[in-house]
Amino acid sequence: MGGAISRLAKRFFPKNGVRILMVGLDASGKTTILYKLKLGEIVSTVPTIGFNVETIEYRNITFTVWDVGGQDKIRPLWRHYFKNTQGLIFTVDSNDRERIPEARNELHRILSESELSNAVVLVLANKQDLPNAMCATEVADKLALHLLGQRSWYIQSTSAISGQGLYEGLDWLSNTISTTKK
Amino acid sequence: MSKASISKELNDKHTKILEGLLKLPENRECADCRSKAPRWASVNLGIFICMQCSGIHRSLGVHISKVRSTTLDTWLPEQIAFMESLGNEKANNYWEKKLPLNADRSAIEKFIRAKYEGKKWVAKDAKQPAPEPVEMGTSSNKLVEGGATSGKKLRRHSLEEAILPTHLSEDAPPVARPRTGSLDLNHIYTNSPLPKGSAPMTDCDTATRKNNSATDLFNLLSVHDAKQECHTVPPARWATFDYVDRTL
Repeated sequence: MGGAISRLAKRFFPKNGVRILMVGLDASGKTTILYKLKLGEIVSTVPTIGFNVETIEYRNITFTVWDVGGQDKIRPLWRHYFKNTQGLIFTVDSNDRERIPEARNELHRILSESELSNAVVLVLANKQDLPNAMCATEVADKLALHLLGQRSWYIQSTSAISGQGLYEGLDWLSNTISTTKK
Repeated sequence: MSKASISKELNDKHTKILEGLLKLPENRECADCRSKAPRWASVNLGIFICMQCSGIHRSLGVHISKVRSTTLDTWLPEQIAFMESLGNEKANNYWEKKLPLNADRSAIEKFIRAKYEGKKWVAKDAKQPAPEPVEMGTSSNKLVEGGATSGKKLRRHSLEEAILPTHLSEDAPPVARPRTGSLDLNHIYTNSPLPKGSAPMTDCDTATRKNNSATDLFNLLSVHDAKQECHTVPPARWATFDYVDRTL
């Protein structure tokens, strides 16, 4: 019983806990990434109306990852998750060239919010397994990441389907957040 | 035209048109699994589909299907026009031309992949109904880039067909996972991200707060479920957590 309670307490108040918010346009792969990290499996997803949240243990750090639905008309709800966010994961469908300007606008819009002023930004150039996917450099360019100035940011190419790049992204997040804390 | 330039009036007009299209007999069933009352669409295939099938369409990649919600997305005039010009009946007349009448649709992911990726039931020489390439820059195969809204790409059928074997072999059988109501949701209450007392949908809010004697969360959730008539789930759910926050 006591064990169960302390386990629960640990889950709610992890010592090395990091709060991560994952946003991005609809169908960029947020939920698939979340469950690939959590379960190591590809789950079949449906559009997220609302959010999913999971804790992921990696390198002795507990990441609490909030995955929030990306449909156009529910994007205004993202801001309710900004508070205390240490790391922002912004996922991009690298295969969707048509909507990359929309992704750029959303990214810069939310990063202008004061509540995210201290958050580090990890951009995942996802869906690298699809034909014609833009490489990370091209995505970085089209998202105008060079405009982010002083903020710590990093772009990682990923394929949620194969898992490629996901842990490299988490590595960067944990390194960067632990250095920022000092 | 970009989404940002869609006025509220135009958006309302689009909503009305979509509602009208969804009332047409041919659009009352999902174009793929035939379940009732689809609320999602593929804007380049011109079909209305259910939420489950929309998830599968999204996994195909935007070079095959571009999924939008009829209620949660902002639509562009050309997308609306294309949906008006096509719809489930005409689209399936192309995609399911050679499909036997009593075909089995129970393995829906396989069915959808065979239908759109494999073009298994398309008649020979038939031409895929496609949106007007309004902003096509050149006739080369290179993708058009730049500008906020340009970048309509040429469809490259040979490429789509070429990738099919890779996709089919890669695909592990999907694991079904209950989404909402998953146990993981149970630990959200302690750190609900919502600011107190400002849940976006206040009508749900009051419905939940009335129940002030309840301490049993699950009881609360079910009461709330029965009562709530809002269309969007999350704000209502937040309202619940908000309430729980106060009582804990």
